[in-house]
Amino acid sequence: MERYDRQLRLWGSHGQKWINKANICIVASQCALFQEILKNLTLTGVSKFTWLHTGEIDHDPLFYKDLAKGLTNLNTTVVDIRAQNIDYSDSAFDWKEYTTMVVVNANNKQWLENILKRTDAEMPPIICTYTKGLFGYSYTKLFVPHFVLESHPEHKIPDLGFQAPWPELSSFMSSFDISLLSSLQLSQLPYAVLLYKMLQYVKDQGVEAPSNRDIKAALNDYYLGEVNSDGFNDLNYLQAQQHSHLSTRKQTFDDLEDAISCNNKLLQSNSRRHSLMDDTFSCLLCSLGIYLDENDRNLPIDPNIPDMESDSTIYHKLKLIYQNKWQEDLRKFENIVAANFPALYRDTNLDIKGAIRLFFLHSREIKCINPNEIRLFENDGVSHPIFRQLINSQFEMGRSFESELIERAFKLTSYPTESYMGGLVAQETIKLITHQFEPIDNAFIYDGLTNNAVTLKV
Amino acid sequence: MECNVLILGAGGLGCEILKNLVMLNVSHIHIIDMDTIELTNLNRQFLFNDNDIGKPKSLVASEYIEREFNVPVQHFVGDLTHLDEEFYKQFDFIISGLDSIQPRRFINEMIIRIAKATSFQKCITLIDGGMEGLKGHIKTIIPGITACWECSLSTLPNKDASQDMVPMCTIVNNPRNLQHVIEYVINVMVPVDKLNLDDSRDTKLLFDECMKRAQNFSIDTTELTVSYMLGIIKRIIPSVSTMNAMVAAGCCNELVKIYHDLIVIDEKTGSLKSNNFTVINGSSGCYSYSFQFERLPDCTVCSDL
Repeated sequence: MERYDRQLRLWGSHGQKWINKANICIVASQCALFQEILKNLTLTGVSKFTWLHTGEIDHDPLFYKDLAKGLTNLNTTVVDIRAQNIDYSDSAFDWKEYTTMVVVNANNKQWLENILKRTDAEMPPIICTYTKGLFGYSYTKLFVPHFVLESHPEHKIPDLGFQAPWPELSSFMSSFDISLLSSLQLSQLPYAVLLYKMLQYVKDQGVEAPSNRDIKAALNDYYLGEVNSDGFNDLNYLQAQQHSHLSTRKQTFDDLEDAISCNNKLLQSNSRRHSLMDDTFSCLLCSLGIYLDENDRNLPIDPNIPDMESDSTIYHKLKLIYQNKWQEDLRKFENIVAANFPALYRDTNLDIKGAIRLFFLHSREIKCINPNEIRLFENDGVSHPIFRQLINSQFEMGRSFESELIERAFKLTSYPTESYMGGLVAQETIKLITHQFEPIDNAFIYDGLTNNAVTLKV
Repeated sequence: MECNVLILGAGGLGCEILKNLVMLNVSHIHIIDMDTIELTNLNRQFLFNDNDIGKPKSLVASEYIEREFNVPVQHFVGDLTHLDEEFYKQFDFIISGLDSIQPRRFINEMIIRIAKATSFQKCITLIDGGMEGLKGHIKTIIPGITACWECSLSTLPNKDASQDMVPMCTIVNNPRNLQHVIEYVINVMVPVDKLNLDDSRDTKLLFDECMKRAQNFSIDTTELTVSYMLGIIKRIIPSVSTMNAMVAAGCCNELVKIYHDLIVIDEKTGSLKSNNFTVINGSSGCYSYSFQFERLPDCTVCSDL
């Protein structure tokens, strides 16, 4: 077992590689929130930071009196923190080399406004954060669309590919002559076979494919009525009932289509970020667009079909058919990438074969988060009372409290609030670095008084 | 803050909770844990380093704080269910960062019993944190005022009834994936309680058996590694420093609110008006929802309080 085992189970070793390579810029004073963000990022494996010190002396109690010493041993490499005083007038500062930027408790409103309003596509995403009392917020500013490559949905709907069956699937299905099988043999068939046969039966009857509402009844009529009247308690039949909607389900993938067209626009205008990761995924997304054009807009088949109650040998054969089809689709995709973006294969820093494989495997999970206009400082930009209050407090723009309770909660000093937001901001940074899990779009308000948290789009 | 707090568990949540309490200047801090430090703890248990592997967690954590802050932390190495009422009575708050259900039920029953026996002279607040990957929960339990831990027991997933449960006949006769293979090896071939899963020879033995059986049934073994196998056997839960910090911080802010009288209790009914249950999910954006979990009128633990 290795040190990062528990988090590799979340984002895999490929995710960890991007974390180890990340270069993060943090604008902050030596304050508790800054220390918490730095500590959490270091623990996950980030080791390269630039700290633009804003110079204020904070009176917060600090956990690390000697920051560099405190962070030693928190990960496996030497943590490199390049500290320098921020120069608010330096317009030539090179932001683009950073993977992500974090701005902590900034109080120079003019500078922050200017930087958030920049229009150059090379700007890294910026996460701004501020805490006070039992409250805190984070706000993520994107300058170009952010592509999530593995969104890790909690539930995936399997795709049996019945909408566009390929020859190997069809011949596997017709290898079973249902009328010759005994009840026992029937009970050993995976539910995909029962559903496929049912669709065929309906078609042979000259009826159109049943709607979602009628499909259970259709399965009932076919299987219990025509094939196996004793099968109503068999596990495979029960599973077929449960999953009957999969047989006629037309998979939609609007998120992916959005991402592809958005990426194509960026490629044409060349207004995008240039980094090994951004460039690679941009090329792969573009190739996927070509793949869909060439394949009647059918997504690559999902090789990971769900487990189905059945005989091992039959299930194994079925699974192999999906896996082989996926391999075939993958080869087509690889050829498209090689023909259109040969330069990718020349970069020795990149395991291109592995990257293509992962990208193709997770293509159903791709999402695109679009950049947002910055309205944070406008009077009507933020209407959430706690959020408004936090911004007013951050830039000393006066305050009025809704209740005495909120006022007391606001004036309290509570280290756990810094700790909470330190965890949240580090987590959002990791999502941006790895392009895994959906980041907050775009503001998050922590209200420790009621324990409610709100996500808003500003 | 003048109060006496006990932290249950010196793991991921425990380390964070301890740090937060020190930063809040809590006057008396105690911490209990029965485990020793392992390599895989180090991605989030930031009070430990490589040289501490094998040492008791609560000892190393308290030494860290005493060394850096010159603040005494009372530590206990051992099973918290072996301690009695006399011990627990001294605390004002108990914050738990445990990873299993039984000790939580034990401590919940303990604080209810103490409140009963002392006619509310001693009413200990229990704040319970839990996490799993990018998800977490925080529960606040004030005996007689809020729902107790037992009141919400039925909200936990029942492992035996879960959809993932595979029939034994599948595992024995029709294995179709690696999970089925591993379940067979540890339940039928090599009973896992006779093995030491931290010994590489034992895990190698298990691994070889799994590999053989998978190949016999033509099951794809690309994903089969020792780490994958142990994940299933030990039912390893993913964890990361970020969500860990959020859950622990949420627990500690509960203590801050109660201490500073920032929670609202209905004066007529004596019941809590503030939320006592919070769930957090940070995998898609970040959602956190809080609500009031009502007391269960026929709760086996707290209904006569």
